[in-house]
Amino acid sequence: MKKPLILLVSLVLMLAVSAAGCIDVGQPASNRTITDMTGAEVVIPAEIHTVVNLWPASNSVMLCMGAGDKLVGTTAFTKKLFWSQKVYPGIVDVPVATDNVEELLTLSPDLIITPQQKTAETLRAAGLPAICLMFSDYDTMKQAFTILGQAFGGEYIEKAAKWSDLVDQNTARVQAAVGSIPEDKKPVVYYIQGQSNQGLYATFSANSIMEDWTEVSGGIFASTLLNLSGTTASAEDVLALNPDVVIIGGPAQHELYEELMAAEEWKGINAVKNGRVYTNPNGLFPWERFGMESALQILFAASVIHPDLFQVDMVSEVQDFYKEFVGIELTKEEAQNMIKGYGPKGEDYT
Amino acid sequence: MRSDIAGKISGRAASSAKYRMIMVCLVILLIGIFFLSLTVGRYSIPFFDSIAILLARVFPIEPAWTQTMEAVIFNLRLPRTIAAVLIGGGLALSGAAYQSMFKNPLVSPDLLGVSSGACIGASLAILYSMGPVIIQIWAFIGGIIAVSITVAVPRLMHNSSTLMLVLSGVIVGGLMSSIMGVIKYTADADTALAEMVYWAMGSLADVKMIDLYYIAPCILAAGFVLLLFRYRLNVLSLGEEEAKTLGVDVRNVRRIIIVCATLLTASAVCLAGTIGWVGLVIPHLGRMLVGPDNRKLLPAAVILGAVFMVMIDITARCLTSAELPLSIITGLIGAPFYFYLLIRQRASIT
Repeated sequence: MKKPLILLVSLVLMLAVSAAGCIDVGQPASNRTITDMTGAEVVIPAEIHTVVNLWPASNSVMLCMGAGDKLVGTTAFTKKLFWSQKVYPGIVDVPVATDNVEELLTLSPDLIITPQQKTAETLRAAGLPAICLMFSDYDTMKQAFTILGQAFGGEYIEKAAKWSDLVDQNTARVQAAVGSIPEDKKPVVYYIQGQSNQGLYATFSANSIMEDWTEVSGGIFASTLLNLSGTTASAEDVLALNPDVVIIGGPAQHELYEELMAAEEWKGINAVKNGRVYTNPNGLFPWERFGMESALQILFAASVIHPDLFQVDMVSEVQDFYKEFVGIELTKEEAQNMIKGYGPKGEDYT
Repeated sequence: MRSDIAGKISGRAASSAKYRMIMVCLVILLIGIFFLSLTVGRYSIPFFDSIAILLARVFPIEPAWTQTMEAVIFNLRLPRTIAAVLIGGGLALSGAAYQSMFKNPLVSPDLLGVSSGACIGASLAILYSMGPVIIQIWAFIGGIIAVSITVAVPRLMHNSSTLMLVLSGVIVGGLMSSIMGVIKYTADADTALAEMVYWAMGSLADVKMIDLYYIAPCILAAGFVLLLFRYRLNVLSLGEEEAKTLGVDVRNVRRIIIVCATLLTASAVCLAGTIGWVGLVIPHLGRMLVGPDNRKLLPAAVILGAVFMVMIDITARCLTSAELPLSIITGLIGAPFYFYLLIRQRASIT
């Protein structure tokens, strides 16, 4: 009875040892180190050819920089945006990536980008080149885009620098027109988040990029007044503020616009009475969030919050932006469609 | 367990006159709290104005208030309050019925898995980016399907005792939780997952009058039928054999009670997400007031549940500027309250 048992145990041990050998990941041709947004030093290949990007906002940045062909793993949100399909038609063939370690090991990309620190750490522990590129306002975006530029090298470094400059320039342009408005004359701006239709009271928290561009454009952000730290506002609180301007962003913006204009309780609110409910442009990413087009958001916001003080030819700004960063020419019609929140051919998301 | 234990736990039964007085007081309390809910909120409306707004629907009064105030009362607060009454009454009623049917005061309306099933239905709808109406419909269907499975298992086992039903509920509930885990895992952490979690925690913020047109008849009909069966519930609690000799068709009565209670709970969940503790604590409170006789207990439970739920809703929307989810408040209030009730009763529990 003992002999078969010993045989069995030694067989199991041999299997275990050889299986351990399978986990040995060939180290990437490690040529350089970059520091990600959490301060972690990550070793990545000298040249990046394949990227798995787990964050929709970051995906749009890659497409906007013209680096879409590097993507081997993307997100479902990115794939469904009409502008993604226009800028990089190959996006429909890129599979949706998950943070499943074994799947990523099979894919073996040169770089993995994730917004979550924990995911990045888990993946790095498995030997994958993962960086955490979390950004939430203009300053952290400048940092993150610079890191991305460094990772891709070459022309991308310049593009990242140009973008940072563009944000500064646009901020200065807008501030020149609206910077000296006294606090009590600034309109209250209420923002509705429409990534999906979650009702009229889905907004963003007080310390966010939405607060940034609202304040740069001479407005007061509603969530700041409400001291909101979450993303849902109480209906009665919002109505009590009597917002002067309402901006609705995201793919569900047109549906939400109809809902707002039809709602009884909004009919008496300043924004509705004075016809100051606007939908936000929606391109490779909703402009008001964390894509590269947020540089243009500063101009758009000022033009709707203070139309009498700041006018801009949004169409030509969009065309210039896309020519410079994405590298494609947009017709006037396509630019207008983007500004109105539609796809390049006027497609609606809802 | 037999009804004498239920009697011991809740003390003496109330006499007819005392019962009538209690019911009258409860109804007055409900009406009072209903109007309180309409006049109270974070959008401040002067008290006399709110009374005038309500009266203006019946008598011709010159509007001395803004249209927004009127809309806040009729479009925001009224649907919520009506929903709270229906949901609180419905959950308490089905809780009381189940506690009587299963002869166990620790039973809640979720026993057969209707809440878990509804959660799955709603989460699937959220996963596929459906609108609010579809979410409600799928939640309802999910709840019904879950209970159907629970009820089918005893039939397969050819054992239709209540114990088998309870075990089946536990199994199905566990299965639903695992499926829920899979759905949450597949969901996009930034948008869909947050929406699912928030939905599951319960909120009356998005209830509109039109939702009530569809769901109120269901709740009212199911509740009415359940109330008609009060006497038979009493007989059922004597035990199966005794019930049969008294001419009660045990299997059919059980079926009808399960169907009605499931409809009540599924409607409540699809309107407002999962709300715990109401179906567990309120029947207990009712038993303390009027005794375990279902003919008296069930109506009392309905009114008590309605009052409780309206108070919870007022707390949820007035306490902070972000709306607190309902199940958090019912839990924070319900659990200690239950503890308090048990302490008051400790002399009577053997």
